[in-house]
Amino acid sequence: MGMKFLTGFALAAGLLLNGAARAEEDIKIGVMFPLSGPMALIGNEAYQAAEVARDMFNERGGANGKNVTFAVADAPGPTQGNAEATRLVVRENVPLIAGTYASSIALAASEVTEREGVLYWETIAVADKFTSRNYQNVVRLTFNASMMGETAADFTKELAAKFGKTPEEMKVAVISEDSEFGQSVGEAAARRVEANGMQLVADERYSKTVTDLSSLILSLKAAAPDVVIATSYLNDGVLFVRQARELDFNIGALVGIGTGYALPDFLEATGENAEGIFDVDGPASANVSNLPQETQAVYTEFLERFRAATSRDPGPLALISFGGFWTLFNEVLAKAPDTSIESLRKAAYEIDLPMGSLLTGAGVKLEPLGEPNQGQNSRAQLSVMQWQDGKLEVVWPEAIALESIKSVPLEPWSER
Amino acid sequence: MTAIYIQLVVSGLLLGGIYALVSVGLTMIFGVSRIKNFAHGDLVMVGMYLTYALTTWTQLDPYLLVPVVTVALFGFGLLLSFALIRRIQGAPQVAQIFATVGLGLVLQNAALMIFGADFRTTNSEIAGNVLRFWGISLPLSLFIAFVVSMAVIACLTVFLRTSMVGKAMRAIAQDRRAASLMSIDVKFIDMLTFGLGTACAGLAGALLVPLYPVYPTIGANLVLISFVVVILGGLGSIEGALIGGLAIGLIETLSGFFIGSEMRQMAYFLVFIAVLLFRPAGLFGQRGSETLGS
Repeated sequence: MGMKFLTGFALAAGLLLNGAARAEEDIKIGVMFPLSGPMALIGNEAYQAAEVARDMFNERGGANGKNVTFAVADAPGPTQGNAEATRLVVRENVPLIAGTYASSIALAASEVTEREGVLYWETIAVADKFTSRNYQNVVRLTFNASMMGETAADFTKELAAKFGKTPEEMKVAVISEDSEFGQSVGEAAARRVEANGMQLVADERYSKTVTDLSSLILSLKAAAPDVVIATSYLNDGVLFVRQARELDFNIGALVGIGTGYALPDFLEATGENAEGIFDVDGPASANVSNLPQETQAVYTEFLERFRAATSRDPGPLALISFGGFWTLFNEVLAKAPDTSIESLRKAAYEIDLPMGSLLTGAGVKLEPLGEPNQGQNSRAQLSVMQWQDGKLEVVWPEAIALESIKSVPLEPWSER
Repeated sequence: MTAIYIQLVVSGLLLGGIYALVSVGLTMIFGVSRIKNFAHGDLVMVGMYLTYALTTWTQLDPYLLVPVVTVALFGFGLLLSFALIRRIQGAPQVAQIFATVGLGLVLQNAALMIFGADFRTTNSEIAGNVLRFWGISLPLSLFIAFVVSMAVIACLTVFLRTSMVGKAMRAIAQDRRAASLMSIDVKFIDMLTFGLGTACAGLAGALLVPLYPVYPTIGANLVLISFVVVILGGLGSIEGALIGGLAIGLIETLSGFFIGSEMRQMAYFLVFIAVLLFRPAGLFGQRGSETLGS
């Protein structure tokens, strides 16, 4: 009763202040991120990017005059993700849920939306399984784990020339931590290394809670690879670099995969040893000059607003999050005649944006229904970044690169 | 290739030294007071955070702060013993386990509230150095931890054998009631033991900070391995912690190299099961020591 009165009061006040805003015609969507708990740091950053996208979209006239509003849910883990998805769908009656960053949360929450016939719009999570469960109502705008592994292997092939070798002469070792993420990335990387004609000299898994990697590093030392492709979180990535130096394990290039190698904490923990290390992930900064005029304007406005709201520069996941929400608003909500699942799904599968449409350089075209990966964006953009003088620079692919590849092959530890 | 094999053994022993260092406080508390301290790993975590905080605040090298942290944790141990541990002395095992697991959770969440879930690292000028002999690498940070670990174990052994307090501790370990009849202040010695054990955890924590990033649940990773070490070496045996630690370090490194990285934990758990089957008291343990003197 009290709530109803308050809502009514707020509505009346809103009408008085702004006659044009008609709250009953707003489109309310569910937005879920881990806003508290261990993943809150990046969860909040992604959420802030989503808010910027919403405000920019509404100020441009919204979805045919209707404003988009958020019903926000905080899901620190999969259990809460499942419960909050139920609340959003059943109590808040949202036509779709967007988010979520963590794969475990996205997997748990999309169980609910699939059952209830509501669209699940994932902007950041990468687990392959998200789009391989034959679900009708899941869409993922970003790349998946396999694509990360494949990109690392393709990039390694590109590096062969810098070693003065043919791809067939390149010796590559693949190591990864053994969670769902690491395993799917590692397997995809190893498959692609062999498919690219390079020699796979080692393929190892380890636990990410590991406190010592000397046996792994010594077995790699015996295999003598030119390049190591390593899928790691922060802790194990730092440990690998530190122990490689201690055990004098020299490689021509380290191609890391995942956020662990991209975080400022990685630089802080490894210091100058980070120099020259690659990281495969979404691009941390956009090469604006190569993007279409319209995307450039959006990027500039996003950057200003994000800085104003958070007094920080957006990280790679903020860019990805913004792109996901921006596409959702402009291509789905603005184009679908109503918010029924059929209309939303139809609008989503009809999107056909060329590469370079999003801030990350990505385009959007979903794998059609009936394909093994239905709902996965086939034009997601991955990049290879490199630590150069304490900064993470985008170096590959060329279309979005801001710097050229440096320090390949790496100097031996003894000469640094 | 020979160099790699020698390096493997060296790396295994250095890792084992860390395990022994982390485990020695645990085995001591168990040996004297029969307390199974499941919060031991979290006390190491407290030592790590304290070192991290002091290093960030004073800008000193973490190695210079080792004595400060050890003494601080000794005090913290006395406090814990007074507030909590003495109340569960002689209580059923379940009560001891719940109380110490609960203590661990409190410490973890306190760390989460104060420092957040981020990985914290400090850089030490000293830790970055590597000693090299004939192609063998000795990372200085690991080497220091190894040497300190050996020294602490030697000192504790001498202390228990020769000093009055040490003899009192051994007397309590053998027969708690008889010891109290010989006018040994059992409660005081219990407190002192817990303080010393916690100081060992703090010492280990301070020496681990240059090696590993610290985060609230790192203790949970350490406590499992230290229980394996302690049970393998023999509950309550200081020498057992040394031998157990070195053995686990070697097994882990060698199996990681020869069998594969994902198999290393399996390898030492298999050895662990074998020891429990054929020598249930552990390598240096006394049969039935878990109920002795209680």
